[in-house]
Amino acid sequence: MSEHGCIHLSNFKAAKGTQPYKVIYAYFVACTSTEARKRKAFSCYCYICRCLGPRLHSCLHCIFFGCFVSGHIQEHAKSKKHFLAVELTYGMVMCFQCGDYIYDRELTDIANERDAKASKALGLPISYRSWEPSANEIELLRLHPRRRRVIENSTIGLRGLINLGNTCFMNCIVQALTHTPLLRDFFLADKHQCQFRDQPGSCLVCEVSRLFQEFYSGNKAPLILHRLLHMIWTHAHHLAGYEQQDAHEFFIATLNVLHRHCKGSSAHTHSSPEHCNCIIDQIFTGGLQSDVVCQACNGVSTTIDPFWDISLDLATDIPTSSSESNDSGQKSSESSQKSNEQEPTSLIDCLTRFTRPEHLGSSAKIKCSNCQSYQESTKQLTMKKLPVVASFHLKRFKHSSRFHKISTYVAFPEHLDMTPFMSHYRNMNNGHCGNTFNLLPDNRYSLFAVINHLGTLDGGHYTAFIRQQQNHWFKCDDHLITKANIQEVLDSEGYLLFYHKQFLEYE
Amino acid sequence: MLYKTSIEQSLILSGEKDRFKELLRTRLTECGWRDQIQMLCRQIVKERGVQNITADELIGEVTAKGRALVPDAVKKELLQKIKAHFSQDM
Amino acid sequence: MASVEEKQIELDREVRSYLSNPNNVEAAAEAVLNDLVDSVVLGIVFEVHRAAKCGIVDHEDGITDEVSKFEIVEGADMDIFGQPLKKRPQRCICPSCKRSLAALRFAPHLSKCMGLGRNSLRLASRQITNSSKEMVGYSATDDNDSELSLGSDRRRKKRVSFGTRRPKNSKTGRNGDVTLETGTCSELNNSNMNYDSMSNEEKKNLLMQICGVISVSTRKLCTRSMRCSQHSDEQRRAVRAALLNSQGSDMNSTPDMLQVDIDSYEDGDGQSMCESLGQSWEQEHSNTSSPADSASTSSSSSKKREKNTKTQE
Repeated sequence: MSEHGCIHLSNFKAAKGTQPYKVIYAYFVACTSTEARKRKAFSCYCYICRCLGPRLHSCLHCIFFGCFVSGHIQEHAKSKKHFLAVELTYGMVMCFQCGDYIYDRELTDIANERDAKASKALGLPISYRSWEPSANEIELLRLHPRRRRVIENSTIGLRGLINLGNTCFMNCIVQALTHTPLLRDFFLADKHQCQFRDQPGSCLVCEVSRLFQEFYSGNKAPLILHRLLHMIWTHAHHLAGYEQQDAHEFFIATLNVLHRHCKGSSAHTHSSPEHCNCIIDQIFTGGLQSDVVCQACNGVSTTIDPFWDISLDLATDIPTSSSESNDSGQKSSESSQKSNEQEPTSLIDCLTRFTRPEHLGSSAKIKCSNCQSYQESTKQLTMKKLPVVASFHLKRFKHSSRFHKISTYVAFPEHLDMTPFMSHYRNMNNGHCGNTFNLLPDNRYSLFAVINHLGTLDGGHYTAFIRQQQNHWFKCDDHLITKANIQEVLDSEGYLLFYHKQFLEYE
Repeated sequence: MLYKTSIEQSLILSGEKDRFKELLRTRLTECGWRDQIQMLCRQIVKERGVQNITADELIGEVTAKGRALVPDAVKKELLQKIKAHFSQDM
Repeated sequence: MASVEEKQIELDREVRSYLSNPNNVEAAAEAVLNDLVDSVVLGIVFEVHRAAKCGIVDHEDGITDEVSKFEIVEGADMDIFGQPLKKRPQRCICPSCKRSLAALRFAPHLSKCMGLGRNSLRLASRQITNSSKEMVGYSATDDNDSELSLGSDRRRKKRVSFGTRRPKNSKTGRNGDVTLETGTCSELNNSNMNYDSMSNEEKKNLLMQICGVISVSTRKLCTRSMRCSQHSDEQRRAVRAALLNSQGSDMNSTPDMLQVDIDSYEDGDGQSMCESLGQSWEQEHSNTSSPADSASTSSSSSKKREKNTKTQE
C-alpha cells in the first residue's frame, strides 16, 4: 500500500477536487495570515461541546467541527454519512469507512506547501522532517533487503590500522576523519561524484569513500592503508618521505588534497575559489575575522579569512625573531616569561588569548586609509563563521633555539560553547534578545576525537581517542582498538582536538 | 476549563501557539526525545503488524509515555517562556 | 453578533484578568505545555503510521544481520574485537612497483620506491656514480623525478623529525658501502678521474658514501668508508666545506649535506661526526618555521597560522 489514499477519497476528489481540503488547511491547520488566525480562533471549535481540541476534526463534506476524543466527529460522520474528515493539528485525512487515517500523495504535497508558507509567515525555520526514501530508493531497498544494524556496543564503525613504519600519525588522522559524523554520512550516502572517472585510482576522495565502506563492513581485521599513503605522498610532495611526520601537517595536507579532488563535484561553484561548496568546505571551513582598529580615528578595517583549524600557542615567551614588540618596548629573553603573563591551562584560556584585542605597538603601525597615515592600532581576531567541525591544534612543538615539546597539561572540555569567541558576540554589547523562539545561532560543540603525541621530539608515537554513538569512547593505538572512558580522554595531554557542532541548522 | 479555551484562543490569535510548538519540537529533537518516541511507535507497529493497527490505537498507547519522557530541562524552559508571555501583554 | 474585533478585545480582557492571579498562571502554563507535548507526539505518531502504511518501514528494516556477531568484547589482553593484542605479521602490495612486502616496512619501501627520502637520494645518486647492478630493485617514479631536488630541499628545510630514528635495514646502506670499498675499485678510480666533471649533485652524493679526503700523494679521493682510519673527521669536513664554498652555496645547501651525513651515521659510522654535524643541523633548523607553518599546505590556513603566531606572545 502506498500513498494512493483510498477509494472513498478518490471518489470525493473526483467529485469535489482538492479545493475543500486546501481551504480547510489554509484556515484551520496552518494559518498563513492574521485573518486566517482570527477565523481559527473564533470559529473553530467543536459544534457539540465547544472545546478546541485535542484532535479537533473538520468534516470534509460540510461545515462542521467535531472533536474526536468525545466521539463528536464520529457521530456526525455516521448520521450525515460524511465519512471523510480532516484532523486539524496536522491536516491528516480520516476515512471512517476505512476506519483509519489514509495518505494521499496529492494532499500531502498541498499540506507541505502550506506548512512552508506558514512557517515563513511566522519567521520560523521550516520544521525538521525525518528522511524518507524516494521512489528510487525504495526500489533499491527492496532489491537489497540485507541490513546491518548498528546498536550500542557494536564494533561496526571501528577498525584497527596497521603501522606501516612510523605511520601512526596517518592512522590517527584517519581515525578522526572516519569518526566525523557528517563526513561519514556523506560517504555512506554515496554522495561523492568522482571528477577523475577517466583516471581510476587517482581520486583520493574515492579512496576515502572505500575506507568508510571498510570501516562499516563489520570486518574485524586491521586495515593496511598503503594505497592511501601512496596517494597522499603523490599529491602532497612536501610531506612525502619516510620519516615520522606531524599529524597536524598531515591533517591539513589531507584536507587540501580531498578539497582539490572534490572541486567541481558540487552543482554550483562560484567563480572565486574560496566559495567551493564541496563537502570538505561544508564541514571544515570556517571564517576568521580580523578587526584592526585605528587608534587615531577609531576606524575599523575588517578582513575575513577562511580557515580549517585554529593553532593555539601555549608558550608565553616572545620569540626573539618576532617583528613585533609590545607597547612598552619590552623584549624578554627567550627563557623568561612576562611577569603578568601566565601559561594557559585550558583550551578556554587559549581561545580567550587568541581572540583578545592586542595593541600593536608603536613599532608596528598600520597605514590607516581613513587618516591616510601610519597609526597605532589594536587588532582582534574573532570567529565570524564556525565550521561544523572545529579543529584545534595545540602548538606543543616550538622551534626556539632549543627543541622541546611543551608538555604542560591543557584542560579541554567535553562540551564547548564557542559563543564568547564569535564575532557577533563581541560586536554586540547587549545580551541576547528575548523573543520566544531563540533565533541566535547555536554555538555548542562536542568533543569527538583527540589525538595525542607521546614521548619526546626524537622518539614519539601518536594515538587517538574517538567517540562513537553519543558517548562511547575508544582508544586507537594503530591496530589496537580498546574501550576508553571520557575521563581518560579528558586527562590526556591533547595535541589535536576535534569538536563537532551539536545542532545543525537547516536553511 | 472555560478559561482554557480562551487562553488557547488568544495564543492562536497572536501566533504564539505555533511559535511555542516549534520551540518545543526543536528542543525535543535536540535532546533525543523525538527519536525515542519514534522508535517506540515503530516497535508497537512491528509487534502488532502494520495491517492491525490504527493511528488512533497508537496515539492511545504512546501519548502518556510521551509526556512522561519529556526531560525536565525542556519542561522548565518552555514553562518559563510561556509564563513570561502571560505576564507580558497578550 | 459581536464583530471579530469586539470579540478580540473581550477575549483579551478576560484572559488578562484571569492571569493576573498567579495561581492561575501556573496551572494555565502547565495545561498549555501538556497540550503542546500531546500535539508533538501526535505528529510523530502520524509520521510513523504513514511510513508504516505506505510500506516504507518494511523496506527500511529489511532483513537484519545477526547483531551479536558485532558486539564489543571487553577483556584484558584483548582488543574490542576479542583479538589478542599482538598482531600477526601482515603483507601488502606496493602500488608503485607491485611487489609484495611486509606491511611494517611499507612506508620506508614506498619512500624509496617513489624516489623520496634521503636514502633514495643516495641510492639514486649511487646509480649515477657507479653502474652497480645491485640497484635494479629501486626506481623513482616518473612524476617525482623532476621534483626530486626541489621537493627534498624544501622538505629538509622545514622538516623536523618527530619520530623514532630507526636504524636502517642492513640491506640498504651498508652493503653499498662494502661494495664500494672492495669490489669495484677500478670503476671508482675512473670516477675519480671524472670527479671534476661530475655535477655538484653527483659530487655531493659521492661524498655521502666515501671518505673523500684527497690524498696528498695520489691526488685522488679516498674511497674508503666514512669511518676510514686513515683520515680524520676534520679532513673529511674540510673536503665537504671546500665543495660547498666552490659552489658559492648559501646556508641552505648545508642542511642537505649534513642531514645526509647523519643518515650514514645511522648505519653505524663515526659517533663524533654525528654529534658535531647534528649540532650544526639543529642550529640550522632553529631559524626555520615549524612544519605546521609549511606554506605548501592550504595557503589560507598557513596564513592564519603565521598570523596566529604573531598575535600570541
